Amino acid sequence: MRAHQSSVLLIPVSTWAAPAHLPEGYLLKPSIHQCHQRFNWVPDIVVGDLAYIHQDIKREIRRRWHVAILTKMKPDMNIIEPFDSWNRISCPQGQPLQWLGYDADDQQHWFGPRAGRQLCGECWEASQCPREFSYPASLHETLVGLLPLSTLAANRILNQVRSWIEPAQAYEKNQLGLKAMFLNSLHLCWTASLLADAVVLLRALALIAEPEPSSDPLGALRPRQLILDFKIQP
Amino acid sequence: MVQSTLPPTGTVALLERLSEYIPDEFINRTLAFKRHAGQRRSFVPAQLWRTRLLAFLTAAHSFNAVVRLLPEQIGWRRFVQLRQRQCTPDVRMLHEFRLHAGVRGLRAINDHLVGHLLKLIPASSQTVAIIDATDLPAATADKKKTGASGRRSEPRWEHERARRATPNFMSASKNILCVFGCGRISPPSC
Repeated sequence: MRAHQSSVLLIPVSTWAAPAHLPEGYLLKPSIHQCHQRFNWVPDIVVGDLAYIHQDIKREIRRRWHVAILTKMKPDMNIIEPFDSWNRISCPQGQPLQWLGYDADDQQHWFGPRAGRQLCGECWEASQCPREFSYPASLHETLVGLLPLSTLAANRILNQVRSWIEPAQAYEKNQLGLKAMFLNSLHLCWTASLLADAVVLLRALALIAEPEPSSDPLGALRPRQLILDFKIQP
Repeated sequence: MVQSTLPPTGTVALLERLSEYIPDEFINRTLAFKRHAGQRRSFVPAQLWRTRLLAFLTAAHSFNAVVRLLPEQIGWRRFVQLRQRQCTPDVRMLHEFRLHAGVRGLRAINDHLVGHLLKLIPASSQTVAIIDATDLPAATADKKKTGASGRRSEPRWEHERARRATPNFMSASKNILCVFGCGRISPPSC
């Protein structure tokens, strides 16, 4: 993943305008469904906030469309075995484990001892231990799911990528003036939202068609050696 | 994020840059008006859609203001593809177009644009979507219930319940699923 590089371009794919009292979590499944229905395409990973934490919805999306829903843990949520914390998993004897991979056929995640300092050499079960542990994706939809929260990828996505939505929302609300619009009906709100999205999409098309920006942004400011051209005729 | 080298939002230069990416033919085909005997439409759907878009691409931020200012702004008229200064869409036409297009029609245009962009994501790359909601303030001051409603003969608790239900209509939320590709998005080659 490459953060804050020229190849990252956010585009709106599914928009809903709803009364404010409608819980946001209800719109996650319809959004994925629309993507599949209209574009025959679904994203591999969806990052949401705590409003999208419903376990049943996550399970259904994982089984039906194989989309990983990443959200942080609620503070009051119970941590289950074999997790020590939301981002740390260990074997029954306490050796921290790292994610090895996902077996899509069996829907199992595989974990093994972390490289570096290991407790395995001193463990009384070492001779019988396979040093690979599998846990089903259905064990906990938030902690495990399709992409466990203990993985480096999940951590980076939650900590870095999630915040990228803020400038996208701010652009529509402030620069395109969505916040200043006179919205006195939900239908008008729908219309304004979709037109603002259309502007963002047109901008994205224009940005992609642009030539690549120079890889040396300070090149024009850097002093250059003058060429002494005396034009001496032989 | 992409480092934008496009002209700033609100400028005529940006209107000219974006104009070439608007799928006029698709809009005219998708949102075509039904023909009625004796009725002649002055503007095609693409022109009306472009006029509505001006409310976001200019500092007007209001459909009524766009209608008022359109005859004076040559750059705006060029964007809407209007030839004559005197002949510009009025508020009624824009309102009728909004009802005619509906949410489904406007979504179809956006889907058409998204379809172009999704084709540019390499098949082997992973895509990450971000879902979020934001509040939009609703202009409902005229609809706010100030006094108790109902007949005088009704019991007291009926009035209190009517007042408590009001805040539900005070704002709307815009829920959006944004997506980006992690692979390199390269411009389409000719």
